[in-house]
Amino acid sequence: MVTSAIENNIDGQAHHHTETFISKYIFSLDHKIISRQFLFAGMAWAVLGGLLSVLFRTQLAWPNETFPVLETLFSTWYTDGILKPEAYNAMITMHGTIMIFFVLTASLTGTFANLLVPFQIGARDMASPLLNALSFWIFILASVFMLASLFAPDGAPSAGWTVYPPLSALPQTSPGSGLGMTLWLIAIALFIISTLMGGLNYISTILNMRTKGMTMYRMPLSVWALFFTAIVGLLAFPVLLSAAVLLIFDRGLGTSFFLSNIVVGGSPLPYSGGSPILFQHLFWFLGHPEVYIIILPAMGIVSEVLAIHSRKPVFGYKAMIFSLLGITIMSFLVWAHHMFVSGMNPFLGGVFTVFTLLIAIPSSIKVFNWLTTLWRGNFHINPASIFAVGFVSLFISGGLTGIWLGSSTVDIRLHDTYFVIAHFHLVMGVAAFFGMFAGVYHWFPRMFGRMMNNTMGYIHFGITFVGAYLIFWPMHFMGLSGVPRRYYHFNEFDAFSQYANMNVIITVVTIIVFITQFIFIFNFFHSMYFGKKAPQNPWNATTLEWTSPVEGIHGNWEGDLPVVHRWPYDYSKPGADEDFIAQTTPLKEGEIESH
Amino acid sequence: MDYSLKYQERNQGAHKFIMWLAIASSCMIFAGFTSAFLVRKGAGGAWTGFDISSVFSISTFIILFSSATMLVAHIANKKGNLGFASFALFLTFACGLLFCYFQYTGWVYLTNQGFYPAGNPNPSPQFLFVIVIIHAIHVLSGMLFLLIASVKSFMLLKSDKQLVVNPNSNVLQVRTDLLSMYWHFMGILWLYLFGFLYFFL
Ligand code: HEM
Ligand SMILES: [Cu+2]
Repeated sequence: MVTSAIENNIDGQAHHHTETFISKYIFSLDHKIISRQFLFAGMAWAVLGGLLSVLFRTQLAWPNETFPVLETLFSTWYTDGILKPEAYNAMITMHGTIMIFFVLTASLTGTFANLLVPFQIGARDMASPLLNALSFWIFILASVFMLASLFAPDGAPSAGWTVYPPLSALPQTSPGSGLGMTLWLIAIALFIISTLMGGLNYISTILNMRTKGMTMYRMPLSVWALFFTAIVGLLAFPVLLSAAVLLIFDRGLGTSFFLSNIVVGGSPLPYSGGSPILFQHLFWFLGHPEVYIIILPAMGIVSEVLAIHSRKPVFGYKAMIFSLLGITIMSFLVWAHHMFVSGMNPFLGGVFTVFTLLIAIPSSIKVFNWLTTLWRGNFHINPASIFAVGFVSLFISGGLTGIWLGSSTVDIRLHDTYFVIAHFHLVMGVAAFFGMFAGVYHWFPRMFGRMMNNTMGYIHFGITFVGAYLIFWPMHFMGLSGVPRRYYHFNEFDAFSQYANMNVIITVVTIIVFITQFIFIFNFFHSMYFGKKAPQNPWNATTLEWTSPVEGIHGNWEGDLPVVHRWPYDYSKPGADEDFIAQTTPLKEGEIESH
Repeated sequence: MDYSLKYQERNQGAHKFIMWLAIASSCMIFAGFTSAFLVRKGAGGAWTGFDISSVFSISTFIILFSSATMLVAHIANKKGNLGFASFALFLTFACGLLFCYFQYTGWVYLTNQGFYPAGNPNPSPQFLFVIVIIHAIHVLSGMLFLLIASVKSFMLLKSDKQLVVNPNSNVLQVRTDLLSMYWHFMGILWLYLFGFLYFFL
């Protein structure tokens, strides 16, 4: 497996052999192609995940209306024009699973690690191109299983993206806990294997394949962020794999790791002694680091994009690296803040509160540094740069509510309400999407050799940004007054009737934002074929990817690899002729290297 | 040194590093199982142990022995003795097979003693069950590559092609390097699990 990759890469030189369409675009080993494949797959998943949210939001806004059209389109999920309650649960489960794992983990990291790691460190490809391709194809296999679970005959998985047992363990408990859940678990197991394969490769490539002169402290922050992302994944995902394996055993082989003394429909089940809380611990030991696996690549992209488009060195380069390191370490120490109400020794709750509040520190260092990078910069407005600024805004808004939730006493009141939904969609969901958009707008010329259309980019940004706040801001107030998440409708609760109109507004905005994404998709595919041809270095950036030929050659550089002489943030350096100095430019006599 | 040669050398180093990382993540999987084990045991309730030393001692011995045959394959390969390397690789594969067989019979023996995983009010057998199975899956996947490597060396021997172009690009060398890292890890992992189960079950 690993070794044949060496055979392919044996002389480390650019290859020019004739390739068929299949070997070039489908089963390619080239990191540039694999990066595109991850992006396309992620876009398809994102459209599906978004569509599901439109369906369940429609139910929340108009719980008493019938939608015959939707019934004809999605007949299995609707009866009498109304979304079935169990289908509602399935929609939210699959929405969360798709967005968190398939879009924001696999596709975000897969796209940008593949694109940027070899390019920005000056390598011809990943350490093991074969393992890299395998990682993508196992991801596709996982996708097939996940898609199948959505269409499982007795119902799609509906235990929430967190798949807590006993709901997820016992087929009797809900229609989606039958075949659908089995497929879900298989898909996630494959997904983890794919993520691990990718991660191993990224780390090893970064540590071993850097070109001459590319010391660790000369790597762009995007590479640093992807590096730490892979480390977090490597340590956290195997534990989720263990949890999934134990759950599979409980489901299929009659063990009771997570099950105990359960009575379903009046009849006691033969399980005894298991602990569902054990599952929660195993799940969140991954689950919390997972949110950082999602956000770290976005942070890296944003750091890079902000520096380039404000024509200033990133503020506090080393502080950025060490705050990434801090987040990496601390993300493993806070998982139980998701379990404050699961029954926990109050002292332990206090410990986790303290660690949770501490993790806000490295996060705020990063925010401070982004703002100071922008401060008095020569800010160039374009879709990439404003999406990056949007990321910072969303990350601040969502991060502040994290501090509320992190305090166990406050969380007991807010847990499982819309307040939590608001928190994590702003800080992670939408923010990570913004990071991804910033990255796509910024590196599109590098990926496809053409420029994207700016006007469409601005419209996309404007509506999405305003829409995100319109959707999630009101949810804070709903959560504060106790509106619980994951409820099918609120008809029977007088206390929540005041939010009936609010639910309509949120849903209407959701639909508008969803449709707006098609502007982006149109722009993307149209520009791929008809966009303006990109110059060699469209943003006047310093990093190595812009020195490789625009058309994209196998091995990335003709002849020798570029040699690096300076850090990646020499923008507007005093005394320089231009407002940027490429990393390949040797230091002038007497010039001091910045850090 | 020629730059492309150096590149390729680093690339081979990178492959070994990937294997180290894979080993680390595999350790995390078992850390997950063994910590779940300890949490569950610590929570009190029914927990009957079992002395596994007699049940799994043969398989433990076999997997340790197979580390030795792996080492032989490694050395033979370094010396360019393809035939011997191929044979030793195959022997290692066979040891893997034997190991799995004795794990299985050990398991059957335990089940007959009432130490079965499903529906048993005593939770300890189910942990043992999971740990043994997931370790065996690791071993089986290693065996697949052992078999491939053994066959490939054999075929290279028959085709009498000029193999060693230069010492740095000896693909076979890297292959057995990676394989032996993985295989020794399998042995050490089982030793850890065996010790863990011996002391805590
Ligand atoms: C500023 C530091 C942060 C703190 C103190 C914090 C704290 C918390 C707490 C205590 C919860 C549990 C709420 C509950 O279920 O009752 C929570 C939920 C969540 N947080 Fe954060 N958070 C922070 C930043 C982040 C970041 C940066 C992300 C992602 C990038 C994130 C993603 C999530 C997600 C996804 C959930 C909900 C999971 C679920 O129940 O489905 N948080 N946060
Ligand atoms: Cu968390």
